[in-house]
Amino acid sequence: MTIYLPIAELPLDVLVLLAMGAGVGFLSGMFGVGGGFLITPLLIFLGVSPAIAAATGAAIVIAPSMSSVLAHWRRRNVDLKMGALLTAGGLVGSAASVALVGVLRRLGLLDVTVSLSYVILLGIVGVLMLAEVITAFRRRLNAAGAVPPARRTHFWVHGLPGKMRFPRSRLYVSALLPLAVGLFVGIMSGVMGVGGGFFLVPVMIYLIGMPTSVVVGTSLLQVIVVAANVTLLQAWEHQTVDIVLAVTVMIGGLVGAPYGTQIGARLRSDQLRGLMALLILAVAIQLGVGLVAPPDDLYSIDIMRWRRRLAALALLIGAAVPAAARAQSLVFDLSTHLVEITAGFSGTEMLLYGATEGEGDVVVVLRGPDTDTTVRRKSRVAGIWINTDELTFTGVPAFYRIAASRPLAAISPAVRARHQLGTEYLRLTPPAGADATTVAEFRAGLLRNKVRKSLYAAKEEEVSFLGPRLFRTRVALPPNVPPGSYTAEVLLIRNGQVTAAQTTPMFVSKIGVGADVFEFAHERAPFYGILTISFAVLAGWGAGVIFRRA
Amino acid sequence: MAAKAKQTKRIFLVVVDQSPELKVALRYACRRAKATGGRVAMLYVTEPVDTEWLAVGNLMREEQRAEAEARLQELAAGAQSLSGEMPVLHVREGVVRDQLLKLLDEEPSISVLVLGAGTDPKGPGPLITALTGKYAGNLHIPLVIVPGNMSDEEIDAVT
Repeated sequence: MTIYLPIAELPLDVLVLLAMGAGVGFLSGMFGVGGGFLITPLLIFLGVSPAIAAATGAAIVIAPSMSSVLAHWRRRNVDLKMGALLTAGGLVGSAASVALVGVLRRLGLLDVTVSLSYVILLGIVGVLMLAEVITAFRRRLNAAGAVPPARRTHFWVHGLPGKMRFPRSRLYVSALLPLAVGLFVGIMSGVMGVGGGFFLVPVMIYLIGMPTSVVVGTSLLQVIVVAANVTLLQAWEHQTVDIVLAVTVMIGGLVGAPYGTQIGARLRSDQLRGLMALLILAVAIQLGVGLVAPPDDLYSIDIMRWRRRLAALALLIGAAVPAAARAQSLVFDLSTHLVEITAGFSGTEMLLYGATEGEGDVVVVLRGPDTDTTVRRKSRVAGIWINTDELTFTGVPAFYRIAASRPLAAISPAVRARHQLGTEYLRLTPPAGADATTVAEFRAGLLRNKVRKSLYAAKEEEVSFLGPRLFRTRVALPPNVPPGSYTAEVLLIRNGQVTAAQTTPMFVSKIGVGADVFEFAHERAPFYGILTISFAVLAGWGAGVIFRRA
Repeated sequence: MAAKAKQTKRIFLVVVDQSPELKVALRYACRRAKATGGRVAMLYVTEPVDTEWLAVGNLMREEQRAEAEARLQELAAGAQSLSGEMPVLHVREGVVRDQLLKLLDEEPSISVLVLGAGTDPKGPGPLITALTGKYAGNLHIPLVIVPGNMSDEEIDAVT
């Protein structure tokens, strides 16, 4: 069952998302760590862009944290004063890192930053976990009891200024400590969309020296507030939180986690923990390979500005009358002027048909909304392929298809250039003063990317004649057809000259809940963020209450 | 005959938690144990450890165990002076209700379970609610419920 994710703008199978959420929930329930830091990489593997995967990951983290903080709250296992300081640091750190995300995104460096951060994080977590399992295994071979590491009671941390009393934790330590720890976790949370419990818990125990009984509850408090802050800011500033994706994965996770907790309480198996460590390392390696492997194409594209005209749509549809207002040498129409992208949209086919007066060849061009498109080129920096150069073209049609009744090669280049027939004749405007060779390279990169994404066709389709005058052609619209206003243009070419031309508008529009969500996310971004947070909080709360009763 | 009596010595089990009604349950159990030549056992259930990461789980268990021992020692001193015999101490990890039922299955020598009822209008507490409700069938020994508002004198009067 496929669902169209309104913000991620791609269709994914609901069952896959639910299963992924349940699987990660199960694992995190079993091991007590590892919700958020597996969700974001798995979403990236499913094809969600790293920016959206990380922002949505932060929203997803809220729910399970909410569900388990309730139990700790009931048992008074929360140090509010320490939690407040951690949270204060976390709010500053997350706000800064969401702003950083914006900068990195504009520079085209966000994807590589997210991937690299995950490779480092998962690498460290996986290795530590594996080392711990191996140590435990060896110790059992030596038949010696498990010896937890001794806590140090006095080290450099206790020399820091600004000491403060924490009665609940029975501590007298510098307030700078929780502030700094919170700040660091906040930065991680903003860029990677993790809660950070896996980092907070050991640091609070070994560095700050808190009693273990209050650590989990207090860290959850920080995780919830910081993850909510990241969700709100990402939704507000970047519109990268996909509520449909978040809620689906969240539900899977909330269902899976209690089972993980139950199983985990019954069998504390080192083998299982070893498997978890290997899984984490596998994800890290998979992401790492993506960073160091030479990319298939050094060039990639990023659409900076859609010229969306959704609001004006209704007016324009009224004008979309068939292009045969008066007697002409050329008439045609489309099987539909409005293509609706619904939740289950998986591409469609459109029929264009018409008639000519007299002999001639017919060329059909369908082009989508003009955009500003940035082309980026990767080069290897310290072994990693990152975007280093960029060039922005304006007037780039988001979608382009051409069909002709005779090979385009037979039409003179002058005519083709004038009417932009064929992708090589598209008038894409590079920035003024750009070097001609560079422009040619980036232009080729742009076209290649467009073709790979099925947004442009490498070759023309055929226009078939039914008898001497009637013609028709089919245009396939892929699932990722960009929404916006299109024009279909038909040219009649006789003796090498264009003797008649007609155009008609066509619209591709998101329809239904998905479109409403998209509009809401862009028009009322802060409210959308708050709505997402509320969903997560309520779902987590509900799951916590249900699980307690069960 | 005397040996047999010793074997069937009654053991009164009290579940230790943070509630105020623990005091009445413990006093009742101690007084009854003394009166009938029985003994008091105490069960402390530590919270389930849900984080297995960087030895955090082991450290948590260790700290909880230390806390459990401290609490049990503190109570055991009073219990000994009241009942005349050193109480038996049990420490378990997990969910209180499950661990309690498990202990009762494993230790058939425990003959009476003594619980203090909370005076809160919302109910006597989760354990009593469960054991007098859905889980009543899982018990194989009598359950004594001591109302939490009984004073020491009142308890002494009925034991």
